This record gives sequence, structure tokens and C-alpha cells, in this order.
Amino acid sequence: MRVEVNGVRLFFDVDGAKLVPEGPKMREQPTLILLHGGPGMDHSTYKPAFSQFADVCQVIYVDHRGNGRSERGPHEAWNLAQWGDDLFEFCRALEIERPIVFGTSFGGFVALSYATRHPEHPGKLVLASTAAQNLLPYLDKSVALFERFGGAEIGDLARRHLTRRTPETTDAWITQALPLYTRTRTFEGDALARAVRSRKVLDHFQDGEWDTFDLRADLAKIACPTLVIGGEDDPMTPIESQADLAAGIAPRLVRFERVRNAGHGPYRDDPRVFDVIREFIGS
Amino acid sequence: MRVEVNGVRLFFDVEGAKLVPDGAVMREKPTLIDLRGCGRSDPGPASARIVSQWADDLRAFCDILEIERPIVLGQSGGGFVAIKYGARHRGHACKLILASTQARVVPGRIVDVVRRRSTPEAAAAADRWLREPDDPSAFRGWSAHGVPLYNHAPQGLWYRHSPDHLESFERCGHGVWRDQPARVLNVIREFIQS
Repeated sequence: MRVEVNGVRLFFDVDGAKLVPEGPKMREQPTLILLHGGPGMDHSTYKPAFSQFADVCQVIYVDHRGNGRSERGPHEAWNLAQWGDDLFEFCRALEIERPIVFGTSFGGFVALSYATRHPEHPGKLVLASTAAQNLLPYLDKSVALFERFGGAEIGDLARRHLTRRTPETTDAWITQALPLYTRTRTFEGDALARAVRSRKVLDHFQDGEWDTFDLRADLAKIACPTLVIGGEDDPMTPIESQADLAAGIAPRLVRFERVRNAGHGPYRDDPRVFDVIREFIGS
Repeated sequence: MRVEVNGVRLFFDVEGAKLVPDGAVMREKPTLIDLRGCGRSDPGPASARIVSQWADDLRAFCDILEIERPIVLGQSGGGFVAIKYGARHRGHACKLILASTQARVVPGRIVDVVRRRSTPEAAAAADRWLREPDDPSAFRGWSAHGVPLYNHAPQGLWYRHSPDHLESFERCGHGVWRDQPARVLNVIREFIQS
């Protein structure tokens, strides 16, 4: 389905009912909204794994503006403030209240934008393999991990791509560095082929906010329980970036889970992470 | 979720994704929607609670959410809406499933079945309600005598007593799958996939 939000039609898909029969009444399940990474990827990266939560939530997959099956809209509106506001308006258009918003990587940037711009709206946040600011402060950690998993050549590619990006480094990045994001190599083959990808929105973000965004000053506005998860072997968003993110959120609201031997989107490498997420949803 | 359609906010719920991973592609599954009566939707003006409006609402609902070529299942009162929608918006639905419904209400037929399966008193209650559907006491008589006959298997019926809303029809539990779930649900599944 698609629905018009802030002038563009956003694609969304759903797994699991909101209302389920329970004795004499209909029990209401919480709504879990999944925000995909990239930008330039789409919601399919969460399928089929996240449909497992359909027994405890209504799971909603969304393609951000400019991504996947959603309309592109004007390029000027491809920014984190707009993506965050789109999520808020998407919920208003469909009367989704107090959602549990789950963002991985770039999806986490959008979740943070939404939660800091509309702090009263989310019920809970799950921020996986993401950061509150651009990743330049973590460059050396990132390069060292890419070198560890891909050799000196990939380490060198990482340093060049993350500091002096060109269309050529981006091409090389997608074929050589992306598969190293996870230890189980989920970013290749069918899983990549299934995604409707947009290089334009990726280039636009990489050439702009990617190196400049900084939401650290806004983290104090987050007003809901928040789970921060990261993989200790994540070369793209090193675990230090999640540690710093968690440290910026009120201690009474935040829980930080480090996952050993796991990379970017640690649930891809270690299915026990799904149990942690399930417990947080139900808590 | 609810979404605004023709000036009222309609409640809808969803089960199962439209796109499912299948090797290197996302496979598209047909849509089976259930408008779930009018319980959680806005009431809107009473004059608009007519079958043709519900049929048009269904079409507009699909347009707003870009649902194309849906499989529409209507049971009982929902079937009246599905029939009207199928006729007013030909070519829109991919398939229709019309369960426990009719194209025209024939009161005599209903009274005869009640008389055969119950008592003359129940048949009189049915007759009265069919003549005076807007009368709350007539509806109570039907609820007491007619509704228990809807199914052979006992049902946890949870329709609401709201005789002033025709929506109450859709809450009734005489869908045939309630009595023979395995057989009927298999027929529906086969039809969806055919």
C-alpha cells in the first residue's frame, strides 16, 4: 500500500493484525515501525526476519521518501529533518499512536530525527548500529575493522571512501566493502537483489548530511524507553558510536546492548538479538 | 489504523505482508481485505449509511491506499456491500467471495427456516423484525430467537445491540466457515490462488 504524506506517496507493508481476539474482547497489539538503512536501500532488508514479531506487534515496514517504492519528491526534501517529519505525519495519516520505532543504521538517523523533533510521539525506540552524529570521529576504528575483515586494500578503500568520496569509491564500496558489514555476509546475493535501490538518494545524502549531521544536542529530548544495540565487529558504525549515542540519552530511559562477534545490524549475525528485541517490546 | 475516505475515517486492520521475499525477487501476494464492519470507523451522517455509499467507500479506500485488483470477501451484510461494489466498480476487484449473503432479502424464506428449525414463537419474532427492522424491541426478539440459529456449532457471538445501525448485520456469526472451518477455508484458499 502507499499513502500520501507531506506531498509524497510513501510505500508501506504490514505483517500481523493490530487487534486480535482474546476472550470477550479484541486485544490491541503495539505497532512496530521498521526504518530501513541506506539511504538507497528499502524495507525488504527487514524481511523475512522481522515478521517473527507479528505475534506480539503489528509490524509496519516503510520505504523512506526517495527510497524503494516510495515517491522520490524534490531532492531538496531529502534530509533528516524531512524524513523524521514524514514518519510523524505517516503515523498521523494512519492514526498510529505511540509506535515502537526501530531504525538500523541510516534508519536509526531517521528514528533519532523523528524522536527528537516529536519527542511525545514514540512509545519506544530501538536504535541498531546507528549514531547520533556523522561517523568521522570513528574513522580510525572503522578503517581498522575493514582492514581486519577485508585486508589492507579494503582498509585503504575505507579511508579514501569515508574521507574523499568519489563515484568510483562508491562503486567499489558497494561491491567490496558492503559485504563486510556483517560476519555472515547478508549484504550480497538474493538479499541485495530483492531490494529496490536508489543510487541517487545515496549520493545525495553522502554528498551532504552524511558528513555533517549532529543530533547529539537533541538527545536529551528523547522521552521514551530506548534500546541501543550494536555489534562489536561492526566496521561501518563502530560500537563506540552506539556507546556515545547511549551515553547521550537519559540513563533511566536507555538500555545499551553490545553484541560480540556481530557486525552491522547485529541481529543478522546473532539471532539471539531477536530475543533481546522481543523482551524490550514486551517490557 | 484508520484512514480518511469520503469524509469519514475508516478503521482497517491488516494481516500478512503484500511483498514477501522469494529468492532474488519480492513476490506480490493478492490483497484480502476485511473492512471489519463500522465498529471503529467514524459514524458519519446517518443518511450515508446505505449500501451504495459503503460500496463507494470501499473503492475510494482502495484508491487512497493504492490497493489494486483486490480480492473482496463479504459475508452477510458485508456481502451486500461487496455485490454493490462489484456492480458499481466493474473491473476493479480481481475476485469476489460472497459468503452467507444474498442479492435480495426475501423475508418469507427467512421466516420459513426459523419455523422449521425452531418454534412458531421464534418465527413470529423473525417476521416482526423483518417488517420493523428499526424497532429496538423487534431487534431484541430477533436476537433472542433468530441469532442462536445462525450456526450449528456454538459461537461466541459478540455483535452489539445497536438496532439503529444496520452495521449490526455484519457482526452476525453465520459465516459458513464457523460450522465447517476446514472445508470452507480450503475452498476459499483454493479460490484465492486459482
